Amino acid sequence: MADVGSSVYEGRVNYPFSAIYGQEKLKYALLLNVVNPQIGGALIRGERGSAKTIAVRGLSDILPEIEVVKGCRFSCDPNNISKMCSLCRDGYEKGVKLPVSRRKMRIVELPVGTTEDRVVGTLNIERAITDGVKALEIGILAEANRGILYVDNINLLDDHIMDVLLDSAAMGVNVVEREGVSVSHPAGFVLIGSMNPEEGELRPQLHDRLAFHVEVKGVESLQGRLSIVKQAMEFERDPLYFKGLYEDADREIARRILKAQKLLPGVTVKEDFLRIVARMCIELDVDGHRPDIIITRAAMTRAAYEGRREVVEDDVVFASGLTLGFRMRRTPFEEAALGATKFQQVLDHAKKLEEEGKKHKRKTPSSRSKRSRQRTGVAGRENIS
Amino acid sequence: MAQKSTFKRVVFPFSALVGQEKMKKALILNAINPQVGGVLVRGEKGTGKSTAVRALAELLPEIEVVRGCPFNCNPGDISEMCPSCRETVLSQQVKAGKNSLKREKRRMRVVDLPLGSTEDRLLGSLDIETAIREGKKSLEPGILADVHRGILYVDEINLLDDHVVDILLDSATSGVNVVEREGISFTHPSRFILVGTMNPEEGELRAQLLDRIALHIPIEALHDVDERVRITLLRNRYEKDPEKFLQEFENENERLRSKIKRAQKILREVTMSDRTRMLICRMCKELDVEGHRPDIMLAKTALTLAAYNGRKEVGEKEIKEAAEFILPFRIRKSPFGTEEQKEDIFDDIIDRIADELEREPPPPDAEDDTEPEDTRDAEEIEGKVHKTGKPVEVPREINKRKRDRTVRSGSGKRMKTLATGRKGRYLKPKIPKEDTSDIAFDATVRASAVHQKQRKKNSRVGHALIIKKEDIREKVRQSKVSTLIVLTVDASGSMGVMNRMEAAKGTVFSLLMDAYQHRDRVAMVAFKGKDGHILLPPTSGVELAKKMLVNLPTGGKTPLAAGIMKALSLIKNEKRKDPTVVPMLVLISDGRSNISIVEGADPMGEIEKLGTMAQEEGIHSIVIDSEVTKKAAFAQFTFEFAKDIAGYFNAKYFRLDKLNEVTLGNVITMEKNLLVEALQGRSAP
Repeated sequence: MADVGSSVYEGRVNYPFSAIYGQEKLKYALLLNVVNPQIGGALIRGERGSAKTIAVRGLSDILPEIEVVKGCRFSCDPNNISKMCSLCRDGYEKGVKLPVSRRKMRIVELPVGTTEDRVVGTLNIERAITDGVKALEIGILAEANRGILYVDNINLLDDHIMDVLLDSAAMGVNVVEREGVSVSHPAGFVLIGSMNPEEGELRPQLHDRLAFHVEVKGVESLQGRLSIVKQAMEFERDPLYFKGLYEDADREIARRILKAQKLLPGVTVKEDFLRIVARMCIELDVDGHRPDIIITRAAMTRAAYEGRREVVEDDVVFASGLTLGFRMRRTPFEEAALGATKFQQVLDHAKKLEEEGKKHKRKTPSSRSKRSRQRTGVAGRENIS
Repeated sequence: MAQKSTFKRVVFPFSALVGQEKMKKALILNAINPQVGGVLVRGEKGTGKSTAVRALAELLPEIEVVRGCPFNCNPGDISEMCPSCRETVLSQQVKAGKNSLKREKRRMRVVDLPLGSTEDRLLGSLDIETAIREGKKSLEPGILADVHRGILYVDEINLLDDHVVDILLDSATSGVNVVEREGISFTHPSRFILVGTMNPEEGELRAQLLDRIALHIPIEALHDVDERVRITLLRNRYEKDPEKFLQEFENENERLRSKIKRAQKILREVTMSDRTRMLICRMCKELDVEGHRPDIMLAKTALTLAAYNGRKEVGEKEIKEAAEFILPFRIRKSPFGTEEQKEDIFDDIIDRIADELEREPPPPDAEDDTEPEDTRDAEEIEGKVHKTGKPVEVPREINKRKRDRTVRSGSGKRMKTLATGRKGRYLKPKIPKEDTSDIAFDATVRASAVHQKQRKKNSRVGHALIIKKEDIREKVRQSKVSTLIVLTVDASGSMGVMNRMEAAKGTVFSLLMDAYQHRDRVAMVAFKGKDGHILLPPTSGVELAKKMLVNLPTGGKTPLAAGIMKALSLIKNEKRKDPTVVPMLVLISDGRSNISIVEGADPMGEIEKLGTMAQEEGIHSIVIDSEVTKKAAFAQFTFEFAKDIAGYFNAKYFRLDKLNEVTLGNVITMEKNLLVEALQGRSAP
């Protein structure tokens, strides 16, 4: 039954990531997720043929290596006890030295027609029949642990599979209670979905769970289109040769990812920025607190990727653009979301409010927050639009 | 016992949660007194609902259990014991006169019920391993056994399968789980606190379940900058080093734990005066809540609150607080009532009743001051915005026939027509009537397990497992199949007159109300200007629909063809996702199409083609003509363009000015029911 888990892409020649023309925002969103898997995934929305899938698959060549417990079905991290499966944890606590091996971070693809048992895992029939033992046949969620789970056409996924996905994506755990098997195991993955909004919208719940929302469009400039066609033809003629041309560039990105990962734990963010982020989220009336957390995480990751140890304003603007775009409450007939440039305005506005708030604080510290909120409720909207 | 591996996860500490005091208190009350009756947290995404419940596990008090008993029996209570524990106790009592079950203490548990759970794991089923090895039938306990005397947590509880909900309700009511399957007959205690979280945008919870959970906590994001910043900071620190973070908050958690313990001690001594009981009953009566459950819940919660506050007597303060937890969701008259201004009415009512009790004359007739006011906040965005018409009640008679289908039943009409192909959730196994390819392996192995010893004796070949044809079980699957009503509404300038838009919106709401009960879905496409827009993607979620529909402006030209095309492509998409969906297209327009999809083409010609397409796809359509009868000098005359369109679609034709809101809703519901019945007649011979 070993070949069932063939949704892991290895051995296929992918279009090199560094050869993708344009789509900087998309590439950045993906890279930040690779650097810091805790960001929480990305949703790529856009028309057909705008390099959505190619970009995601292209990642597989630049993904960093990770340390895994050798032989562990869930690819546990030998150094992180809090996210180990029960078997590894038992071993670790008993003081057994866990065998370690290194392999690349994986991209696992979830086809739209997948059945629930393949996603969650199910009773291992072979072992049930031969040994009379109930064991778990692991599903895609287990394979995706510590990797990337990619769902193309995520808007066409069955509702009940989506629910299961959401559950594990949110908690990093997959709980299997079916067909006589009762197991829970770690399932922390970067969920990346792509979709064409023409074919139907995504449920709002899922919208929220995917950290970044990237809108992609085909390249507009004639020159750009020309070079895309040229490159695509070259790639098709001899994929391996073409890949060779971009090997150095790909390797450079991979190196940068590693460097950023090392830098990330040391990146700091000023509390002022956090206050501004919180204000922006309040002003734009987004659901819940998840956006605050995502923006901060993303800004820190971007700083690391740019080789800085401190978050600057630009990072916050960039991160808000990726995060807030589709979270703002919209009304029908209003076209899509705010453009990226507007986020600078929103941020400036939030900054101004913050300064005013501070001034206010010195005078009347107690009633500050409530008052400024009332004031900004009106002024905020006007300034943005 | 079978392999059971549970992954120990590190959870965000309870004491590090910022704000949301009401939710935290509700959870703690349940930890103090399991009889409070569960918590339902409902609110927008990303507000820490799930995090809080999972964190609660670390605070739960210890309970005494019989060591090794898979049903978590309480050694001190013989009235609620599994058969084996009771036998031990009884036999020992005869001998020594006292019970000497081995005891141990462990923390109360939080057991997760994931959405995809199958029936066998919930109820428990035949243990394959002992069956094969020893040829003996024994029960492998399920979740309902694990959770006895603990907390059952269901995330997204509103998305739980009906079938699973039925089972849950059954044992939640009786406190007992009866397993009658695969030749096993077993009864064991199963009493648990049900804790659920949900986002109402995704659809509502079934009324029975809603009623069963005592405390309802609405939750929304914090609006204070300082608090939000604290959340981000804490979360960042937690993610950097979870173990260290936990240690930091351990002291605080410990303090909460001892507070819970203290409250548990006091709880036994807390008393409630007759006057207070009277107060509760009167309030419930005045507010016209359903049944007596709220009264009892109020009393229990108030008792626990008093213990939490360290008081030995329940006062008005506790009643007020308990009322806020329990009543707001129970006095709403329709699921669409406005939820505002219910917060402080309890204070007034309680004060008033307390006064009355003080004076003790018979209470005056309760005046109804809970009438929700019409709170609409029509924002002018673009063009004219129409208020949403009042939801229309769909007459009972029409629904009656259909309602039987939703009554709990494992093999009702719903299943027969709906379990098609290999799609959908695997619910339970059954014995197949004919050859099947969708074999339920777990059930098959289980069915054959008991016979293995015997069969192996008779067989000369050394098979590991001998499965005969009679063992084969088939999977019963359920996928959410429902009718999909796509309302295609003209939002061009002509709809602005005579409240036509209002009527259309009112219709959508009444349909949604119906859909809410029947798990059907409604989508809305509006067209104006140049193109059609999907206003409301297929949904049964009421709150979302409300949000989307409040601001629908009208104005501009009538791109009728484009609108219909949008609706058709939406239906096609849904069909791709789920081929069993039953689509219905409702077109509300005056039929004066003045813009074509392809520039310069004949709009009516395009519509005719679309009509043929819809018929080929087997889409049932209704056309509602919104044209207003013109009163000319001599006679009334109408164009009835829409009648032609109805012809193209082979659709039923109605005129809006002859229908009012109420009958419009009725017409659609009636058509839908006819359609469903016709389909059922066809596929269930």
